[in-house]
Amino acid sequence: MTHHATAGIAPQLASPRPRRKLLRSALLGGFALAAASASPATAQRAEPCIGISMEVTGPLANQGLMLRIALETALDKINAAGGVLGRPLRLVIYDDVGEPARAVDNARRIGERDNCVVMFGGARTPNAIALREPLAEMGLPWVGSISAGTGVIEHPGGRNEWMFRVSMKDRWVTEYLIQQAKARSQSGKIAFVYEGTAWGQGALPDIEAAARRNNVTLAGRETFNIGDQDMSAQMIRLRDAGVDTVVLWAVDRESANMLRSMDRIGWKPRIISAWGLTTAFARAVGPLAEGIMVAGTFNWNGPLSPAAQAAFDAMKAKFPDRIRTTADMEQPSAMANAWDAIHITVEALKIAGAYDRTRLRDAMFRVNYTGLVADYRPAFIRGNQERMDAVLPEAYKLQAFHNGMLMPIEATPFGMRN
Amino acid sequence: MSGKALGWLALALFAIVLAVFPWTGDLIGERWPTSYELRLVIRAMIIAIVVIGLNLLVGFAGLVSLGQAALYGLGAHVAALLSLRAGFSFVESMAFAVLIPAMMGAVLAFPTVRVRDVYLTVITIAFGLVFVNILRDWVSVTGGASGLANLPRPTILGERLMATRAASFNYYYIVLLCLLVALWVQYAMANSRYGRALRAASQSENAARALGVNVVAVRTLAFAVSAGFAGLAGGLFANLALFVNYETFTFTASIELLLMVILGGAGTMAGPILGTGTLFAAQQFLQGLGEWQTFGYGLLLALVLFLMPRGIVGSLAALRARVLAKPEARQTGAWPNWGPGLETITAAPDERGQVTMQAQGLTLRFGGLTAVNNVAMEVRSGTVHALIGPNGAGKSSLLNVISGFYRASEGEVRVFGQAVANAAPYTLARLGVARSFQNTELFGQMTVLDNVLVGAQPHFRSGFIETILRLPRFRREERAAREEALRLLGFVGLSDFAAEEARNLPFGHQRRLEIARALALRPKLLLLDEPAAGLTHGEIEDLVNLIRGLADRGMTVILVEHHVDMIMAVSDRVTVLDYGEVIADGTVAEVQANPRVIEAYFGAGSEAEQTEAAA
Amino acid sequence: MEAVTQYLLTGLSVGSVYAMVGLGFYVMWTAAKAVNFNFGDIFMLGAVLTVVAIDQGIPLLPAAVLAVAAAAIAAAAIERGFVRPFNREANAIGWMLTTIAVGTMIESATTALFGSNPRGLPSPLAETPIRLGGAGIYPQELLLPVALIIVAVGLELFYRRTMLGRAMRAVAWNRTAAGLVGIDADRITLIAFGIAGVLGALAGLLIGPVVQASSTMGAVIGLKGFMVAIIAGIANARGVVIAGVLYGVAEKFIEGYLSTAARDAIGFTLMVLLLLLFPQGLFGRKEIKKV
Repeated sequence: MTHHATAGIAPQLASPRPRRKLLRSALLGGFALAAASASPATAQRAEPCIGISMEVTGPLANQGLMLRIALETALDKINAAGGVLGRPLRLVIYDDVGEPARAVDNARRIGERDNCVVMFGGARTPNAIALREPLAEMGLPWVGSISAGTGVIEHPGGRNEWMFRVSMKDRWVTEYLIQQAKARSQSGKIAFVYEGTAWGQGALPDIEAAARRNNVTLAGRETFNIGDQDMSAQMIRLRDAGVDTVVLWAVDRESANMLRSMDRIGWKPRIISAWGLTTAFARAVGPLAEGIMVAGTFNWNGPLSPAAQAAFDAMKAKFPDRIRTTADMEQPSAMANAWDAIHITVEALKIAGAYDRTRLRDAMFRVNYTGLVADYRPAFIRGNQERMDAVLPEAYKLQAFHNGMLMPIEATPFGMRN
Repeated sequence: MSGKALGWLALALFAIVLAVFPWTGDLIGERWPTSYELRLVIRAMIIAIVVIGLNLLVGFAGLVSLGQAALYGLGAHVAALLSLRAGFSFVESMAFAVLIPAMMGAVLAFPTVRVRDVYLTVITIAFGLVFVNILRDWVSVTGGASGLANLPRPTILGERLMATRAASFNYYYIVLLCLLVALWVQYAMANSRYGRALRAASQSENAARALGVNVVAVRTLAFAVSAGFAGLAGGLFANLALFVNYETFTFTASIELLLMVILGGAGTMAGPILGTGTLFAAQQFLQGLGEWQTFGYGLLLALVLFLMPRGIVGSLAALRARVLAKPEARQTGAWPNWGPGLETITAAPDERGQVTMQAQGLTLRFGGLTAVNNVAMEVRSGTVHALIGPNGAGKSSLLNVISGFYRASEGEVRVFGQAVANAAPYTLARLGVARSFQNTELFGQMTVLDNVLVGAQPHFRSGFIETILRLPRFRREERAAREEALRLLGFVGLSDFAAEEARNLPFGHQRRLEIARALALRPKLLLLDEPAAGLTHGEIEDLVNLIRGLADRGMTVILVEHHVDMIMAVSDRVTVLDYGEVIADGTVAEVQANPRVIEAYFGAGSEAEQTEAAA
Repeated sequence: MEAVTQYLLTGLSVGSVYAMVGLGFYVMWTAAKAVNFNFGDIFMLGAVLTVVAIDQGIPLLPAAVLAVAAAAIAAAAIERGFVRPFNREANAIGWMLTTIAVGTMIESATTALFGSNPRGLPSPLAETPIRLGGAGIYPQELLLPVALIIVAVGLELFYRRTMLGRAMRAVAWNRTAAGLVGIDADRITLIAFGIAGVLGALAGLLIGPVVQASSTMGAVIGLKGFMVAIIAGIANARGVVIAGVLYGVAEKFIEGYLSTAARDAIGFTLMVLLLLLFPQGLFGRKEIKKV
């Protein structure tokens, strides 16, 4: 097990800013409703660091680890090439244990104490949603590379100014999956199965809207909770409803248990999944995974571009215990997203010309960059919060499990046009 | 400096430090604290409020809840929903955030009527899990796992409540104020009849009931207050985060809250603050351990539990006591010591010669076993009435029926002319029936003085609000109760032991204390269950004097005893039971001459009793 | 009908897991009037250690035996180190907290060393299900009720027929009196926790091939097993077996006909109501409160 984490995680103290000011008389008088006189958060120079709050412990720790591998490797390369604006860029990682309140604690720590120039996000959608207000209040740009909830970027009233994402967006993913399912379903009976998390529940209204737009009537909606071990009841209901294609919205463990339940009752519908399924799923269920399709932004198991190959080689060199083959890239899309996200941010910093949060935010809208996942031209569009997502549906790719590997669908027998 | 003064000083320092904390940067010329540190302190203060509530439950009432996070979450969701969906103002939504969890807490107290200990804990766990499941899956109301976002910023009198360095941190002071209020309520409750009743009920439920404590009612109150604090904190949290979802209120959070109570020192005043502060700080520092941080957390807990099983405050207090302990000579006084103020030891005694207690056709069965069979008995006021018989004759069972602990299968008991079938022990205690127990049932971890004060419970008229606000009537009654308790300690010769924990007393002193405690009720009828057991010869003589003295001053005494010479010395009348039936009733001389009594003792009695009877 | 068959079959299998974990709690409680509150971790170790042993090249069966033995030793060590020192007074709750602390450490260390991803536990019995019309079950899952019966009968015989078992009953009946007749109550309690460890680890190991091994697999099962034991009246082994199986089946019918999302809410509410109706548990004996 590697221990590179400790160095990066060690808290960095913000450089002290001496401000001599006499203790105001309001101190004692203004007990109930005191107004502070601290320096305004705007127009202050920030430190060359990227703060990240994600799950270091807990059930999603593996996603956090994969994210760290991609980010630290990318940063190493960037710093080896002289850093950004002449200074090396640091990564500070804080654990949110999957709890939104902790994520906000961490955001405050990153934005106020560490005074980082930008914050990155982890896997969980609620943790990102809880940050909307504090980020805006601190004026701290945030870049997500996993959490796909629509509400992370599309805020009520179009008020998003600070949150960017280089990842999938559920509203677009649902549309994509429904279209893929519709194209493949023979009976036209499509069902939606989702986990009882913010990610799963949050996709339900999106999928229903997507189904309506595509004239699909969902033949079933079923859910299960994290930790559930048997989904026989749900699967029996779907089978009895004549469903032949399942749109799945869940992660590895529960999906594996669901596959087991399908296998028990001898039902094998076509499954088209959001990107919760990884190689760990295939390891768990063995041959049952064959042919299951997964939407994603990137696949490392297919032919790689020189840039992608270089990225993989670097990760393999830096984390030899964890990354031996491309199959060890357990969050393939998220790792590519993170790789692109950090490079887009670096480009923006260069355009901004200073470690300044507001200028960085403004520069994000001016970045054009060719990444692993897509050609971002431009990465983000100002005044259009829908486009504070950098990865457009055109970049979504269908992948499928074949011989225990998640492959680009063209490289498997399950590609279309057969 | 006395411990109490030290406590107040510490509290004042604590309040000042917290009040000044946001301004530290201005004092030392640093950019510190930032909004991050402010937020941490606010969150810690909010959690401390929950922990204070839980301390009332765990530390005082002895009820272990592992569902407290759910009540915290209930408050948060009530506040969030009311301000988001119903447009309630901050103050209005906070009021409901306290009230609704408090009512839920009262409902949760119901199981304590029937189950205790680990069973109750399991019920609270189940409650917490059910609550989280509902939050997560009732999507239309709670937003499901995505939670409720974009709560409106709270305002008071048009002032926006903020918690950041850059804008304003007036919310910080609102939370601090709530914390200080919570600390005050904890103190005021603990140092009143409510706190004493809770501790008494947790240390000996039976004795508490016999002293007029309505155990169900005080536990319901404790649950409600505890839940109210959890709800208050929940509401404060919702208005700080402006986002709530179930993940803050899981079973793990309940465990953390309980650990904070134990870590600080359950049942202490400062424990919740220290426990919360320590654990909260530890969580931040443990971040450096990366994926091993939960391991470090577990290790830290284990270490604390091993090194300081009574928590930080408990262990420090024990240490302080050991360091400061002076071998002081404590005098055991003579007893009974009929000093001034004891003339009215029995409040409004019945007129002499009246029937104080009357049993008719009284039968008590346990399954197939008949412990008391068709007993008829009369006890006249101002007399000492002995109840004797061989082992298993049903004496204690009869006493338990009279004092309300057992419900008679058939028949009737009248006390002071009132039919009291099915009356709860605490009701009887309030009518004026006091009792002692065969195996002394003291409140071992309370002081000798507090033990007696529990007995004064029924004399209080001031209610909960008066107690918390320390209104004049409460002060008056508390002062009177203390004077009376000290007088009674003097009466049994234990004045010098007032501050000692009851469990540390020698056995004979424990008997004295139990009697003093029963007398604090100012009973009209005193039931003594083998009061002489384990006492020395001299002590028994004193006891005889005491019982006689009480009867002479108008108290009626029913005495279950084996010591025949004591019975002869003290009793006006004797009833003899055998196999649950009355076989003789009359004066001492009459009973002694009764052939059935002789047969019962010598024919069927145990060896020990034969010797006693022969003595 | 197919559905009903399916619910009965999977209910029986998952119920057997609850019952075996519940029996573990029963064995601990009878001996010590205290339990390992995070007993779910022993269940988890049964499965996880088997995977680890297989990783080392040990074949499945010896790996399983090693894992159960190691888990049992861990369970006994928890008794010695974390329960006994905190269970000296009546009504002590220290053991609850210390076992939670040690459970946190075990789970955290497992996550760090074993990984947070679940791992498959290969078993030839979990590859092809037996189909009954439209219902089906893995042979592996049928092992669970079989194991439950063996374990329950074995436990009964152990308590009645062996010296050690009798000594354990004596300790359960009256610890002090058992000490007076020369029984080392502490040693008996240690062994009891070890036996409970075997039960828990066995359950985890047997269900592992179906649900995969992971560091968090035990948390909920442990709690449910404890609740089942309490509902049954924790001092009645047969009651625990019946309640465990019934709860497993009831869960499946709740999922089938009421709600899958609210299964636990409904199930736990049901348990609380039962406990209020039968404060001593469904099969517990009523105690007369002595005054």
